Amino acid sequence: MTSADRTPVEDLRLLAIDLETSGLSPAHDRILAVGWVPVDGTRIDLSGARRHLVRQDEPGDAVTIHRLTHDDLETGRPLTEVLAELRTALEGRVLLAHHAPFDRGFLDAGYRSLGQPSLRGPDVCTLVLQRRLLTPRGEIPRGALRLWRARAHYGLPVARAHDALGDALACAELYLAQVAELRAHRPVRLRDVRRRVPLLDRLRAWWKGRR
Amino acid sequence: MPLDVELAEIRDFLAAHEPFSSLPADVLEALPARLSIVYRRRGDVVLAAGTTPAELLVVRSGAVELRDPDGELVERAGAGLCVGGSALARGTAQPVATRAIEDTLLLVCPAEAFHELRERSVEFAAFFEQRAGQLREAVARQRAHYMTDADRAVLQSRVGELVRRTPVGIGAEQPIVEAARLMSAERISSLLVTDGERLVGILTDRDLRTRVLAAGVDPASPVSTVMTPDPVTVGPDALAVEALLELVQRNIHHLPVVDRGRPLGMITATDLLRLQQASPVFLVGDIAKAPDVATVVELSARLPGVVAGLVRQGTSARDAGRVTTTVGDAIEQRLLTLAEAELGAPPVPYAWLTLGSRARFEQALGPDQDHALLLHDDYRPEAHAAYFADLAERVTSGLEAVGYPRCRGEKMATNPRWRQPLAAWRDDVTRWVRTPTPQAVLEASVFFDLRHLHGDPALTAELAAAQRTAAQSAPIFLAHLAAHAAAGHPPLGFFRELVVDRSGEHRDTLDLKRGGINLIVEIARLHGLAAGTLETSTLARLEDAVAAGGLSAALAADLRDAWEFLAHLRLRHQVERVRAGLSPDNRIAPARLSHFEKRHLKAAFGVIRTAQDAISHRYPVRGLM
Repeated sequence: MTSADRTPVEDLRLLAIDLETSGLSPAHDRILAVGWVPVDGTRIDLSGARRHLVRQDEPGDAVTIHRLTHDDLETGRPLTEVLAELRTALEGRVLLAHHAPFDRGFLDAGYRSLGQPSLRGPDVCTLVLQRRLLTPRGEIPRGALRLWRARAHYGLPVARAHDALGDALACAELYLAQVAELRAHRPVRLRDVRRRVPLLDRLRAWWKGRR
Repeated sequence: MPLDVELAEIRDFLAAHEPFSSLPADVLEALPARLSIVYRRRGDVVLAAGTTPAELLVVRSGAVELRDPDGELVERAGAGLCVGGSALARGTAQPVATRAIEDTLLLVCPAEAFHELRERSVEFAAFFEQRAGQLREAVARQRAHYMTDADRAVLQSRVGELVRRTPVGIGAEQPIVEAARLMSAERISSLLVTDGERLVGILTDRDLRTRVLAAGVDPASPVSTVMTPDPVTVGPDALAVEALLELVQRNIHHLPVVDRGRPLGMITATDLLRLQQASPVFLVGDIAKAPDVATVVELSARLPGVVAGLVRQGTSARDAGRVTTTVGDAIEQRLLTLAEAELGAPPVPYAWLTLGSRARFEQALGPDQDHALLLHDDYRPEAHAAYFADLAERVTSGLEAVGYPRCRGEKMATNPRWRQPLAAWRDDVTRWVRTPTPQAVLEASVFFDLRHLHGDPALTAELAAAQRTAAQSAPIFLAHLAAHAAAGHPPLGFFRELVVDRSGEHRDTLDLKRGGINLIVEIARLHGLAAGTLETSTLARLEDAVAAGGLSAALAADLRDAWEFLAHLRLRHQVERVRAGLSPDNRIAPARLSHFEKRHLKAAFGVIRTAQDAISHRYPVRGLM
């Protein structure tokens, strides 16, 4: 446990992120776009919202999901610039994502491919939080943990957009709703919301980072 | 502005809601990046009463409710509602408490951005300056708005549109006496003097007096010797106001209208003044002189034009209702006189009663017929029934030809139940009041708005007095009337949104009469009857109820404002329908109203609810509904 772990959520600064990728495997697929939006305590700051396309030659299969065209991706910025900017945006903030291991996996691979250290620090995963909030109510229905189903659970609006920034914002709003529910019962600190990474995974990550 | 920021979803959301929808596209595009987002759980305070807001809150999803310090619900709304804007604009404390009634996501606009937007857009600023509930201001504003249009309309009228009849001319070489004969026969005060097709002069009444009689000129002399040669003329495209100016400057009364040398007719100072007054007075005068039903029908077609003129002149709905009623009275009275002229004198005295909206001096355009015959107790059916049945049928079919449809509920003098002697009417009143079945209350509510129109006024006075005493001393009847008045729902939903028909021919519209005006009429009737007033008009009933202590002055003022607002909205709607060649109705589409109108419409419906609640508290209506 670190001292940051005791930070009350009201003072916690986070950065909600979402990646668009060419596939599901960090080892074989690439990052196509990155979107993020800062969360200061219990307030989303839209002035910090960004979406960056990553320049590449071959977008792959995920194009149909994100409706990114070759032209879009050719006008994108180099991965190194985008990831550098993300690192700056994350300074002093906790990474926030829906299904955080997925985004972390791609980001780790991305930084590694550039020969840079991966992102450190804890993260908050709204999928994990949702599972924790739903578990006391009995068996979790199939699909209930997906971003848009989880949002519907809190009466959050259904968005038609499905881009990296839109999903980052959707995740940030879901986080506000989840935290509001948690806070209704007792004070909440970072340690109550951050994702717990099994010791073995932490060791593996540390080992990968060393190489 | 940072690159690649795409908050299109939020921009689109704002663009779909007032007052953001009035912002220019570039301002709207840049706005989302200046906002933040917060979340409130159901039951959480969104903005406490008494705090001075530092930011504007916009409900993005969920719902909130606003309550005043007494805990009374002020507003309940979902996505798009702005909270704290007016207080933020004025820098004052928020007067109402806002609480989330569902889990709610809010967009937050900082004060700095809010004030910038107010400077950028007049509409945006105005949205937060308008205080809710101030219907009177809204009505005044509306009337002023339409008055401006009226001035423009008068200015824009063309002389050619004012020429009322084909020109009456006489050759320049004709004898003066012939001109005088022609003017008498045509009942006109001036003649166009022509040479072939060409206008060479005019001759007026005044010329005959001063230049012929007073000067001792031989009436057999040609017209050309006494006419005003080469008169000042105007073209048909001249503006009415220009013509008026010409008349005033030259101190003349007649102005020939000439199109490329060819006379089209004559306009007079009276014509121009008529234009200014939209001439309901003239219309009533003309109807009263109409020689037959066909002429009455023809003249009645001018009524919508007169009402349109009133709207343009900024007349209040109350006054417009009085004018429309007066014209309606003139029509019905003329039809009665014409029928009597054909049928002969009535065998027994009678009174023709007008009922419903016209009895209240609140007639709109296109109302159903509502009338009844009150016969003297000397009436003997076997001897007299045929006469009155014929009379009723003639008037009713005449009214139908004018454009007043027959009453669907058969509440007309053609129905024998609504054509009976005083004693029978008295019995009806007693029955209605003593055993107020739903049907009785319905009939009574029509019949208690009655006004003498024609015949023997003493009969009407006697019946009205009987009604008044009967109603006032019958608490059960008043309770039923109260239940009825409290039962109608204004089209206002749970979230205080305007409720429209979802499907059918009235899709996306609401009924201003059923859901609004009629409810106020019922409320006023109840209070009026309880106070024992003889007044029938809604506003007069409210005044008398206040004077008698049965209604608070504040609520009466609110009801008056709500009535005026709704009636004025309907009036304008009907005028627009008539102008578009459609029949005037009571159904308006909220989507076509401005946000001011929508807001005040909600406020008006809210006033009705308040008044209905007050009635429910005072009368034991629960068991009766």
